[in-house]
Amino acid sequence: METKRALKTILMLGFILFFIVMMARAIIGAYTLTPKSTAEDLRGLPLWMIPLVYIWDYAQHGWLCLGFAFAVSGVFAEFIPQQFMLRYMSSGKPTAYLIAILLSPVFCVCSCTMVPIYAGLIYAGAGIGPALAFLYVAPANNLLADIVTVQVLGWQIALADIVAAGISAVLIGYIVSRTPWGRAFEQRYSKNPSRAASVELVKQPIDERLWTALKFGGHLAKQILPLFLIGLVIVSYFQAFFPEELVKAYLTGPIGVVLAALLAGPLYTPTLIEVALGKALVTLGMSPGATIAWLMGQPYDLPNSLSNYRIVGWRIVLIYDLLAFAFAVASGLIYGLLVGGL
Amino acid sequence: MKKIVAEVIGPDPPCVNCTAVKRNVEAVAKKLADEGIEVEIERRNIVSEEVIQKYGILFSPALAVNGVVKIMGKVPDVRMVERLIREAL
Repeated sequence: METKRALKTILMLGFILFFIVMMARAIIGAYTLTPKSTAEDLRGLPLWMIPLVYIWDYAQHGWLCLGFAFAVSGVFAEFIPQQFMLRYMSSGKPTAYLIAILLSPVFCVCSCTMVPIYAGLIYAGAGIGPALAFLYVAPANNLLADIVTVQVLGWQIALADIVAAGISAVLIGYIVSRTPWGRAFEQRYSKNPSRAASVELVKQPIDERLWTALKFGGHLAKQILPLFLIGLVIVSYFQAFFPEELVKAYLTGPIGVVLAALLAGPLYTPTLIEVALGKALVTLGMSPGATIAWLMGQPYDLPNSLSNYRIVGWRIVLIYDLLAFAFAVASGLIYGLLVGGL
Repeated sequence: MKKIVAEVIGPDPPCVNCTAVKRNVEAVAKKLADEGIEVEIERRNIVSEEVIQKYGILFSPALAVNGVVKIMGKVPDVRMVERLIREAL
């Protein structure tokens, strides 16, 4: 029994290590995992072949990156110190912001986990600032999206996106909590005393936990990959036929940053597809500054705003959305001017 | 007849994960009914004031047995659920 357990543990650790080592090798070897198809390559093909060639292009380079992302997301979801994180995030101290931006990205992959924690933070009197920071940063910087962004759009854009989202999250949360509406809202929910007594999580042996982690990674893959494939089919046609002149004319320069941020908002796409679509736009000529604005334009999409509205009311949603938009534009401009170009 | 209360805590409307937890608990309840153990299954809304008052903020989905949260943020399989319920007897 004991040897069987040990064997199982070693096998599963080996599986996870395989992805980590392969990924490290790919990064060190500067082997690119990015799809290489250009509009010219795709346009010459028969219509039905375009998505197949495009997806094959992604699959060839992307299997390692996606496998790594799903395995690591599973491990994080399982091993993240949940109670520690919740305790600090609901403490109402400035460190709550820090915990929110440092820890939330590693586990949140599903909005049905995220929204309850957000609402919970508010109802438990943790303050609307850290709650909003968490709501903003968790989908924007989740691990899966980050890994894919690094691989598809390059580490510079990815790093800029991660840093900008982290800073924006804290500032937006803080600003909203200082507005009269934010203050009035916070007063409705007083701080509750801790009720740790009624939570006693079971401890599981390591092999069971690893197995749960891998199963969760597989579950994520099953949920996300079909959507991702459908998204890629659409993106492939987009890349093949969308006029380059339009992208070059409207998605460059300061106006391009504003337009990219505007477009990315209402367009509700899962993060991975947003990244793929971003890649297609970059190939067609979108400027680096506009790319950042595009990537940061997620927090104010419609479904997100609606579920937020039910919890905090329209005034706070409106300020939050406007601030998120302003920060997307500002980050795009700053990145464009200082680093990547407009 | 022994009675256990199992609370499945998740968002409302339920997401895929909470439905999976509920299904596993139902399977265990059916099995234990033959041994004379009654498992009462209740669904709770994770963002209700009532749940937050009682348990604080939780990762969804969560499973509480006899008023104590045992699992959160993951879907326990049938074997795990059975072990938790037997431990609470």
